[in-house]
Amino acid sequence: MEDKFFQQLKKGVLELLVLEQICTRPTYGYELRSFLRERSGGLFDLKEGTLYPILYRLEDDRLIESHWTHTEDRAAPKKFYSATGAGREEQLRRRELWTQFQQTVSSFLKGADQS
Amino acid sequence: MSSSHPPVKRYVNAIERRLRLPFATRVRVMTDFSTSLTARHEQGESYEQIMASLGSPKEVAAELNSQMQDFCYRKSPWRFLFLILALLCGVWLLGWALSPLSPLNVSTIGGVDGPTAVYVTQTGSTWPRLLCAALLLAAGLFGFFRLGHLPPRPKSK
Repeated sequence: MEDKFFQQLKKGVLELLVLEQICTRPTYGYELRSFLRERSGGLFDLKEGTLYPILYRLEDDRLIESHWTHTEDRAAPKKFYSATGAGREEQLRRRELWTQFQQTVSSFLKGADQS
Repeated sequence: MSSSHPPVKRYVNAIERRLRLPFATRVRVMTDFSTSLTARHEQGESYEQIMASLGSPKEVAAELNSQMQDFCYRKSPWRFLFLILALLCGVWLLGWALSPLSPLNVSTIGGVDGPTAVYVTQTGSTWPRLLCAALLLAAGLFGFFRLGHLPPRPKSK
């Protein structure tokens, strides 16, 4: 039961974190996975395909866009994702929503503890 | 990329064959997947290590299909109606082909030589019925296949 609840929690915030990171700098799937894993201390250790639906939903909603990058030192190009203007605006809106949500839930739990 | 490494190319192709996704989405997934393989290889992992850690193509494709359910082809249960139609028409056609009255089985009875020869033929023309059955068989099979590959549901905003 707890694992399912935790899974639902992670599912809810993943898109927020992915868009946040892409707004910070252009990145690609594997780099994003590594960043989430390291920054979360292993809490967000995602499987290969977990990010794809999130990335494609964001791309279909025109919040991010993909492009191929050829680097001078490496032969193989990589598919990078970067945020659009609409994506950056949306991320600001989502951050505010998250802050409100987090404060509300914390207030509920604090109230429950005190009663 | 890994296109210069034949075992990797075979591995990637084997995964792609098992994906139950529309073509455009399959291309998206495979380009991201290939980028991931390249990135890991550039960070020092050998392709053999990467493939071993990911699992067999069957396992990888199953995981991807599971994660990408919102993007997968939909299968309508009505497709079985078309399959039944196709089977019925197929059975009817087969029965006709094997029937003694079928032109395929025209034979003679009685004296074979000369004016006493009697030929068994069918009465009336069955070609229109045959054509109809063949068309219904084709329609049934097409319907079964088409209803098993419906596009994913459009996402609601």
